[in-house]
Amino acid sequence: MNDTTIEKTLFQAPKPSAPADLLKQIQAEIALPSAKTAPRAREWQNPLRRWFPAMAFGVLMLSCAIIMAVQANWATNLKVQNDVLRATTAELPKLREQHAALENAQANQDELVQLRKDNEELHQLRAEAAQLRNLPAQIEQLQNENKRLAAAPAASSNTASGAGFFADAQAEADRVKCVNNLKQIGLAMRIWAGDNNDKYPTSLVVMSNELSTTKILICPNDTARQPYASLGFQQFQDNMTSYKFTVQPDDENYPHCITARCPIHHNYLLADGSVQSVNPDKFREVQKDGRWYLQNIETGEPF
Amino acid sequence: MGAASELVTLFYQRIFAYLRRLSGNDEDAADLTQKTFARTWQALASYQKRSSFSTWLHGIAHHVYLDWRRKRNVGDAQSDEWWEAQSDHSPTPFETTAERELAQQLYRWVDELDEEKKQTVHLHYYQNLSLNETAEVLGVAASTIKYRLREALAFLRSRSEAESRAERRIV
Repeated sequence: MNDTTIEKTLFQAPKPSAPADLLKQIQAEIALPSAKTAPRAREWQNPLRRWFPAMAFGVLMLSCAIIMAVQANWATNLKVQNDVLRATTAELPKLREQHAALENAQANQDELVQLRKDNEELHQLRAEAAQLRNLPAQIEQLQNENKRLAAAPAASSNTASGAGFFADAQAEADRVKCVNNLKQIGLAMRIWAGDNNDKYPTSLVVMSNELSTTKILICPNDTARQPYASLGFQQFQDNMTSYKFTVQPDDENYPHCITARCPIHHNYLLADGSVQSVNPDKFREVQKDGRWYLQNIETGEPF
Repeated sequence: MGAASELVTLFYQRIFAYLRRLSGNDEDAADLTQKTFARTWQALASYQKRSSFSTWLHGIAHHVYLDWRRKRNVGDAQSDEWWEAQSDHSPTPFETTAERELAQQLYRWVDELDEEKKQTVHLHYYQNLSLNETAEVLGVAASTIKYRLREALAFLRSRSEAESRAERRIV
């Protein structure tokens, strides 16, 4: 069986006949959609659909017309501008001349402004030159006054001078240095006593280990003993010191008794380690029970 | 209403025949035919006239059949007796008994085709739809229809040749 026969046979397939009452049943069940409901869905679409091609064409034509109108307007404007430019071109040489004249005038104006500035500077310089001419006379006047002032202190020799001021300062510095020497000696005595059953030394040489240098044993104003300040403790002797020692071994129990004093500055080292710098017109030394104390001359009260 | 009745008169036989061959019995075919027309009236407003009414109606019938088949999960093949009965009762162009038997066998082999090819053969050959109409009903391209028909004919030819060889061997 070839393809043609098969196809022919298939085309001639038997057609089953429908039951007799099927047609009536189907016809009885015909239920067409109501006339109102079906078109309603498309009612609003129909006018648009119907008129859309015409509207689209109309919109296209209108757009074209607008574009053409705009282009025509541009072309007219460009023509007008072109005419104006052509008319202006005819006057171009004249305008160039005017421009050159204007630039020339501008350059003259700038030059004038510059000249004015230079003139002002010239006036200013002249004023400064006049001031400078007067300056030597002023300098000469000031020099004369300076000479006069320098001569004035030499004439009055009795008034306070810078040399006197420095001498006072030096004296005060020496006095403070003397106080410091005594304080260091007092500290050395107390340290020595701490190592020796609280007994103070009766000789400087004995407590030489507690003293840093022999310089502190010489008062700065004791010019006669200054050479001893350069000696070591091996050469130093008790009578070489500037200070007068009145210390006794049990002075620690008498804190106000004098252990050493400077006869030049009237500085007193007391047994409690303090150093008192007193006015000899107001205080004096008094001896009581073999020890020396300071006493107020006017009131007689102990220091 | 009159126009609808006229449409039913024109097409109900073809639709019934199509659904009868596919469904396998008269009752189901009658039900499916009724459903097809009921659905036709519902969808009448959406008919766009892009295809002929016959094609559109066959499309609805095809979908009605697919829905029914999906719900029932029925078998594919028709019984031999039905094709014999159809050939016996219907007026056929086959003159000899041998030709008639061969045709019945051919129809049975068509029912052995897979569903897509069977649908294509039914619509194109049995329902006399063109290739484009068949393609439109099944929602595929015309080239696909051509391919399916070629495959179906190859299958039927191979079955026929196998049958001929078996007969010769018996003789």
